[in-house]
Amino acid sequence: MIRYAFSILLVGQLSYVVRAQEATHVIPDAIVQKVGPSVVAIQHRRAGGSGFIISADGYILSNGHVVTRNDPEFPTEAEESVTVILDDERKYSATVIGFSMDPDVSLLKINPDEPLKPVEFADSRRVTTGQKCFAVGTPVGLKRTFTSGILSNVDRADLGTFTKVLQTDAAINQGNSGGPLFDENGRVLGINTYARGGNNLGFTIPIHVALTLKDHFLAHGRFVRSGFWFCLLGETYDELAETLGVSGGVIVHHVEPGTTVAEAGLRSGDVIVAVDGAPCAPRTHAEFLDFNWDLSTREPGTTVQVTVSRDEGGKRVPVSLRLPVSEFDQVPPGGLQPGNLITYSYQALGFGYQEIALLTRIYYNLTDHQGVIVTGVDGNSAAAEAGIGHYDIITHINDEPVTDVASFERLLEARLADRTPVIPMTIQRRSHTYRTALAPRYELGGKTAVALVPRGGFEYLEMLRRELLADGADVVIRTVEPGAFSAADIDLEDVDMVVLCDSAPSSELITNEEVFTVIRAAHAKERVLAAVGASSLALVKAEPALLDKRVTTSPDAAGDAVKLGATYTGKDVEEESKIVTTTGRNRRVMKMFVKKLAETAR
Amino acid sequence: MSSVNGSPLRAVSYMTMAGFLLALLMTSGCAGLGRGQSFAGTARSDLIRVTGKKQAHLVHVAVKTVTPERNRRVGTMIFKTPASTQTAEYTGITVADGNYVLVPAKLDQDSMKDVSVWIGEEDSAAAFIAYEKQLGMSIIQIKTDKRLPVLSLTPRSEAPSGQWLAVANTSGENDYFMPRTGLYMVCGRRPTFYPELVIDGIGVANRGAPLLDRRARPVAIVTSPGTAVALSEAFCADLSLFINKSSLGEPEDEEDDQGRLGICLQPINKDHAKFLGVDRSSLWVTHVLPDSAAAKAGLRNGDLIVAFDGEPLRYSGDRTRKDFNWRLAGKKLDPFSLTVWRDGETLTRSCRSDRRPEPVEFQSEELGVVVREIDENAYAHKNLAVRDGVLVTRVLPGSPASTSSTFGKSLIQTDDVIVELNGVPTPDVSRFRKVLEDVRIARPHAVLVKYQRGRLSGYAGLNLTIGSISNGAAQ
Repeated sequence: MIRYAFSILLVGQLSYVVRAQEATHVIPDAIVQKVGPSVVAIQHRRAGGSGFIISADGYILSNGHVVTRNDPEFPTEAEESVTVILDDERKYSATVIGFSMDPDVSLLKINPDEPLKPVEFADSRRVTTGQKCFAVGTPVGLKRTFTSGILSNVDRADLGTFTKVLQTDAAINQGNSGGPLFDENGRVLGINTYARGGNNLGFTIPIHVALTLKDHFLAHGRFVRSGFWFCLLGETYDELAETLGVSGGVIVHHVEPGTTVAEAGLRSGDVIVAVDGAPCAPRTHAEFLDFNWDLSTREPGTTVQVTVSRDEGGKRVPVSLRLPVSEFDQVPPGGLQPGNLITYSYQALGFGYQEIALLTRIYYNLTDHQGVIVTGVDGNSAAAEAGIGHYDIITHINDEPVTDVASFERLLEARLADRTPVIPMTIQRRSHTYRTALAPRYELGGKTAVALVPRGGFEYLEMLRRELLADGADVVIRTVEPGAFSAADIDLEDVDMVVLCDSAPSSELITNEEVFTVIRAAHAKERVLAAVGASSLALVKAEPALLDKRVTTSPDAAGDAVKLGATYTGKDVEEESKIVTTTGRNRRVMKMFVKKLAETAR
Repeated sequence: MSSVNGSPLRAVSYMTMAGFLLALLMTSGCAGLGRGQSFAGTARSDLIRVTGKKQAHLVHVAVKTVTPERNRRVGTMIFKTPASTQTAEYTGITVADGNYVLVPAKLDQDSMKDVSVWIGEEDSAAAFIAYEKQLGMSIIQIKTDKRLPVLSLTPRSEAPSGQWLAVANTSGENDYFMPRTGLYMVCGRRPTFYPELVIDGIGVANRGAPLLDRRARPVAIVTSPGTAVALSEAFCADLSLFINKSSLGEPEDEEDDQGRLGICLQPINKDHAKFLGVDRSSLWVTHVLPDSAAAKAGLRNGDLIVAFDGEPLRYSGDRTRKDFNWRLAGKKLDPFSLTVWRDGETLTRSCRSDRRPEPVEFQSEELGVVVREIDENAYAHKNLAVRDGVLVTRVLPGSPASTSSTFGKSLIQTDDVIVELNGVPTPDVSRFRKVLEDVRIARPHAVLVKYQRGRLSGYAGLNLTIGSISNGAAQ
């Protein structure tokens, strides 16, 4: 009986082995082995995603949204400390070469110890709906996850994206972002980017788009978007073609007066029927996006011969035009691509502002008033109390016109330097003119800061100066030149803060005895001592009593700090009993440092 | 306590001590506040005198709420909870002529059928007027021939901790509603949106009752057990606006209300007022509509309104504007004066609001849009780039104007300005209608619309064979 039962068990086991051998694979094992090593996980301090290797020397493609710092104040900056984890769990620190938010693509570079295995590319222009595909990535942090499906649509154009995207029913979850979508032969069709509601609705940036962007990132560090500056184009769907009296073409919805294409003779209502002799007649939005992609990736500075069909007294006549292709002007933060419009701000006053570009006026339907646009207001700040709001245009300060960022800062800082209690401003809010007044709090009123700067200058000196100024401090800048700088030049009786401005470990600030003398004297008089980056070393070198105080410094000077016996914590900003130090690694950290410095000085 | 310590004697001694401390606290409270604010030496007769002064202003409001039957699931079992009725009782304060009564509860039209009101022992009907979310208070109107005296709720400095206050209540009591008349001590404050006083021991039956100082002036209103909202400047300002709005009737539209005078206003920032030396409540004129009553009265963009009909403006921030609008609405078409500050001088201007004709509106069933004339008001408020055209105020769902090849993306959108139809300009509604009549006669398959959207122009081809109107004709 036992023997009988054992034989049944044995047969059962054998049949299981046979079934395992006969298991059919949707993705053959050879393909899994082929693509697996090329897919990577990407991590940074906020989140992470996926990516894939495109060259043996370590170039990696991913999504823009995986690596962006996501800080409206610094729209062009990528996240710091990005780590790439290879299929075999080796980890590398990556540099972001460039990224774009739409199309959602980024290029990263790692320096591997040995050549990596890059992916192969499919031709994403020649794909068909229904073909098999599979995605690989790190959904919700689960590395090496394969999901399969078909291409559900290859012309998805109604998501408001800048290009067509592929749609797949292969499961795409958070963390798949940036990972590859492969065809059944293991060649990359595109970069998985996001899923939208519902079930099994995933979207993929076609690889031909991503590879064009890769070239832009390598050449310029960003996507140089070109086109006809500035007009708004669109497809001529059947009803539009019928009512316009054309058989097809690209409708020119709007031509902005004064821009290059307006000067070249393009008019709103024209229909572009041929470009460089090739007829164009996009009927659908998908076809139009293809036309637009071709236009957007042309070399700026070149020209295009176009034929337009123009309405002349009720009749359509062909008109030949030579239109210049220009790089698009700066783009306000709106998700299209990281624009190079910088958001400036006065943290102490509580608002940010930008230059007003043409697209800013178009996006936000602003009037033609000159000035600067307010991009954000902190609650409970002087700006909020003055009733200044997002998208307001500041047109005047004390009845003097503001024409641009430079004039705005000049006018404002002249009053901040005098510590004017109330600064009248005129604001244009849509069609309304609004007068208000900013009452800075000057919480550092009457205090003086001395900034010691090395000969080579200091990257964030301007930011430090204006923030301290906006908070009511007088700022004196002293360059430390060996032999020329003397501690006697600084009368510490009139000084409340001494700030060592440097981030390089080889600076003269760390070796200059006169600087040490200033530090010792300032410490003896219980002044606030602050240091950026490696210059923290000067504090502990100069005054042994400071070895007990918690300090931080730049990572490359951390070893020296420990050797000197400093109480090094490694935080971005550190403060203990009037000693404020920072790694100074970026603008955001510098802002935190200035805030802490001001709090300590108060 | 006794069971823990195992000593009944010790428990008694604790209780005695607690009683002694309480007595000491009460004595010191009374004695300490004897300098004007306390109820030192208050006898029951004094208390009745103080609270009795306000009894005529108060009514008893009982709100019955019905909780419907519901199912409660526990594991796989379902228990039925039968419908139940609760009655919440409040003291209502008469706050405006016409028997408008303030109740600290969220009421609505539906709840009024289950509301009972007693004035003294007399039962009366009441109508719901309004509820204000921020204040958490409703106003009802009592339907009675009696004229209830109005209790003025004016700002008082906040009662400090330790001050004794008397709670005033209605004269009527019944089996269910027995508010306690008595003295209560302020135990603290809560820095909520409207500062609240913590009133130890005040119960649920006192909700809505005013708390009075020894001169019978209201200083707070009980909102929930243990809590009363202080009659702070902000609370009284908002309450006053709410009472005005409720008792004077609601103007049709605030924007429309401004449009009658033809100005847009912005409250002055207090630092700016100080800088200009205009140390009082005032409103900037940020926009004057051409040909409006304000323009005729000589008001200009940049004027600062400091007084309405000789009375200085009140409050600060947006409350000033709301108060101004209410006073303006009250004037209707009567003349009034505005005192404005302009370049350091104070000028007085006579004004009279005018009734501008409502802009002509027209619904085009063929296209599926509702359009209206662009008047100065719309031009300014919508920040339009063109004047010659018709403003789209609505796009009808499923119509040619709303149907594009992308689901959910309308070809024509609200706030677009239609400037041409089939190449013919449509500068106003009558021309728009005329062109549409031509379209109706010609019955084309599609119509070309040129529109302005913000700063951009655009073209749309509307398929007239789709949409509810055209379906029958196209078959």
